Parts: sequence; C-alpha cells; structure tokens
Amino acid sequence: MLQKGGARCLLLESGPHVNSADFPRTEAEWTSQLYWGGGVEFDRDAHIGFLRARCVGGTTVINQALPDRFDNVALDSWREETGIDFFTEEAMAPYYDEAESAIAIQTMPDEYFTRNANIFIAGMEANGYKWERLRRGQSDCAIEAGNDCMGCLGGCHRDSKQSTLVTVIPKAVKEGLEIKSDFHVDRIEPRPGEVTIYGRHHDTAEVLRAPKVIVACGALGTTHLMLRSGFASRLPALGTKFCSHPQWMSFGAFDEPVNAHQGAFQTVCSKDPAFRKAGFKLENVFAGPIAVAMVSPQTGAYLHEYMRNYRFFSCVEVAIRDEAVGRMTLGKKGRLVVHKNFTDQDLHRREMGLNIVKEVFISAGAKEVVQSPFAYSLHLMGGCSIGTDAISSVVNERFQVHGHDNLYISDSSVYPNAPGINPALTVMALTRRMCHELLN
Amino acid sequence: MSSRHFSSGALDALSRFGDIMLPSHEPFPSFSELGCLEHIDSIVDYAPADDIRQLNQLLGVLNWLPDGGLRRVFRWCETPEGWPEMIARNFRLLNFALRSILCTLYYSGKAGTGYEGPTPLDLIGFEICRIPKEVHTRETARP
Repeated sequence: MLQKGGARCLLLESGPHVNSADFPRTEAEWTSQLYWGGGVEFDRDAHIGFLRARCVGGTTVINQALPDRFDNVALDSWREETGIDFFTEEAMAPYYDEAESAIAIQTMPDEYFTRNANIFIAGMEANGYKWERLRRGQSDCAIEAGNDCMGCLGGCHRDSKQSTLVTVIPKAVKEGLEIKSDFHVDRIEPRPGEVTIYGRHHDTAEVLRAPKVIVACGALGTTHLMLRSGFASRLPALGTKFCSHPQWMSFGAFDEPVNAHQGAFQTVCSKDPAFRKAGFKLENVFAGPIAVAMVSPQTGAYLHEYMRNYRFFSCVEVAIRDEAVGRMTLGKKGRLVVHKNFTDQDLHRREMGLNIVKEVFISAGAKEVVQSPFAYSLHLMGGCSIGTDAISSVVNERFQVHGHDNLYISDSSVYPNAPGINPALTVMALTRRMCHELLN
Repeated sequence: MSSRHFSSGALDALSRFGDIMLPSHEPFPSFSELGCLEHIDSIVDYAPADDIRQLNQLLGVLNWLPDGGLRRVFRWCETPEGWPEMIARNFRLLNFALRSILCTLYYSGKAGTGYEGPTPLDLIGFEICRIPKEVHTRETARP
C-alpha cells in the first residue's frame, strides 16, 4: 500500500527469507529453524512458553491464519482503556473490509471435518454449548486430495495459507519493495526528518537512514528494540500491558483412532456467549508429536503410554482472555525479560475452561482425559500500547511514537489489553489505517 | 560422538537425562538406544548461543552426579513447588530445556547410526501427506 502510494520501502527482517519450496519439512526442523529461541521462549519464571516466527512474513507464516474481527466487547474495552474513539465496529469496518479483501477467506464444509472436529462438536452439543466454523485465511488446501494441513505449522508448502509471504509482500515487491533478510536491528535513533537504524546484516555492521520508520516486530520484538534504543526513560509505559491469551491443551483418549494430525487441521471453535462473558474460549486443534510430548503431565513410562495414544487423541485448548499486567524489561546483556504471572482471575478462567473441556470429552465418549499443566502463548500483545498520552501509552492514535512523528509502530505490541479474539486481522486493519494516515 | 555446542560430559548428562525421561518401554527404545543424540547440533544450531553455553556448563557439572542424584534433580525439575521461587524458577527452566531438546530429538524421526529398529514416529503411526502445490483441486471450502 505504501509502495503503491509512492513511497520507496525497504523491509528489514532478522530471520531468513524462506519460500514454500524451501520450508523445513519436519516438526524438529521447522520449530528449530523458523521459531525464535530455536523453538520456544519463556517468561522469567518459566511459567509460560512463547511461540513466534523468525523469518520474512513473521508469525503469519506459522500460525493458523484465522482472520477474526473484534466484537464490541473487545473494542469497547479498548476505547475505554485508551480514550481513542475509532475503536468501534463501525469505525473499524472499512479497514477490516480492506484487510479482508487482500486475503482469501474460507470456512471448511462439513465433509472435511476430521474426527477430531466431530468429537468436539458432539461434546459441545451434548452439553448445550454453541460452536462455529472458523474463518480461515486459505485458498486451496487440497483436503479432498489427501493433503494434511498440519505441515503448514512449518510454513504452507502449497501457498494456500494467506501469510504475508503470499498476500501483500509479493505485490509490494512488484511495486519495488526491497527486502533485506538476516538483518538484525540493534537500535534505532529518530531525529527530526530522519531515523537512523543501526544493525547487522549477516553479522556485518550496517547503518541505514530513512525519513520514516515503521517498527513491526511483534509484541516481544518491537518492545525489545524500543527498550534497546533507550525509549524507556521518556516513555514509562514502554514494556507494560503485556498479555498473551495463554493456552492449555487437553486430550481426550478414544478407543478408535482419531488421527487428529491428518486432514483439515483446525476447523471449528467454541462460540458460546457465556464463554465470551466468562473470558475464555475453546479451540479444537492439535499439534505434532514433539509438541504433544513436551506438554505431557509426566515422563518415563507414562510418557510412552501417553504417546502411544497420539493417534487416539482428540484435542481441545482453553485460551483465556488474560489481564494485561505482564511487563517486559531489559536484562543482562540486553536480553528481553518477560515478567508474566497469572492473576487469580486468569487462573479462575482457566479452571472454568478446563472443567468444560472435560465435560465435552466425556460426553463425546472419551475413555480418559489428560490435561496438560503447561501453558503456552502464540498471541503476544502489548508492550507499546496505543493511547493519547506519553505517560500511559507509547504510540498515539496515528501510530506515531509519542514525541517522534517519523517513527511508527504497527503490530500487536500496540494492543492495550487482551481482546480474547485472534489478533491477526486487527493488526492488518490497524496497519491499513496507519498507512492511510501516513500517505495523507 | 561430538558436538559443536556441547562437551562430552554435557552430552553424557543429556543421554542420562534422556533415559530417565524416555526409558526403554516396549516397543519404544530408550533415548540412548535410539541414538538420536547424534543429531543434537542440527536442532541447537539455531538456539541462542548464550542459552546453549549456560546449559552446556550446567550439564557438564550435573554429569558428575551419580544416577540417584541425577534422578533427584530431574524430579525437582518436574515438581519444583517445594523450593523457594528463586530456585524453583531455575528448575522449571531446566525442565523446559530438557523437554525441548530430548523430545525434539526422540520424536524427530532420526536415529543413530547403529540403530536399526523402527523410530518412535513409526511406532506411534505418525505420517503426514503433502499434496504438491502443482496439484489443484476443486475449491476445498466455501466462502
């Protein structure tokens, strides 16, 4: 959009530029090669694991591409928190429309529901809970030809998943966008009329200058860069309001194979107003053998027996709308330290969700229910929250860092609290709003 | 066996921890019987160098413990609740590090040069099919 509007753009990415022909093919390879931390990162106290991608296209390459609009519950809380009046369904609608028009969105028909999905639906309906089909960012998954979508957790080899690698980036490249991958930005320094970027390209120091810079490294990456660049002394809210929709996996073991790893990977989720009000939702999903083994409650012979059930497991995750009280600071050697404890409300929401998952599995005929004690998060949000003043926020309603009209932030780090809804589409919509502002 | 990232003592400790976490259990081979530790560098090449350096040092020290001591450390990693938080946090971190490395290697589909049996992925029946990009089918879903 910026390129088309006449700007000359350069995209810097810390990770590699991998395309669909070169994506790693096994779970061991893709988690170690495409994820930050060589697989998973943790908060300071090791309560929760964070998953985020390190490659051109970022986490859109490895997520499940679920483009959901925020409802008024989420937007009202953002308006109250920030004092910004465009957080309404009506004001956001044109930007959501624009973001959706750039990607293919589909829902899976019943005939592609896996046994994993049908177990979830049966258990939900038996208890009177509402569910819905997920809207998915995809174009041609070839389910009827036998394609197993789990492989797309390491990048979609069919280019069906609507990651930015197949949507906006190729269009921008045609318009002249230049990409520098394997470029690690150490710090940025805004001055009137220019922003200086200090970094390393393949470990060789490089200094770049641009009239305007947009930082979009995700909640952890952007906050880390802003902290390294010394903004914390001027912006006390930097690093605050971190939240992440923590998730816990539960498995129902069945007598007949479920084969949740095959076919359409994630097609349905809960849509119960009572769950929304209570602050959690249920995701019918699964994971590769490594991830399933890692979240096992026990090890030793138990772990082998548990993994023997891999093909017999149905899986549901509880994801909570957590309180945005997490904090990020700089630690030794300039490393990012995430302080993230669960509040009593967070734990209450988890317990409510886990109890319902148990009911759902038992109603659907599970012989055993295994609940993992390990939490992990893929929706990393906050740290550079949006707002109207430089005390309680980092960027203004035009997405400019307070006090620097040539430095913008456009990613989930600007989120002021946890929406309880997949965050990706709103990042795209807010980015489009920012681009309009910038071009004007 | 050698590694670019781990000393021989650290590799020994990983192998011993591996056999505690993933012992021989019919039909599954133990971690050391599978020999997957040979592939350690291929998964830690991308991890933060500082983390690996610290883990290497810690494992090198822990390898001096007798089997009973190592088992006790492993148990504290899994259930650190009785320890003061400053210590418990480090046990939790070590638990995650061990689970990450050992589970990744064991379920990577790779085995050591001397191992001829089925891998754990074969034994649990894990297989995924990738239909090539060139194969287009009717629309897989309705809008």
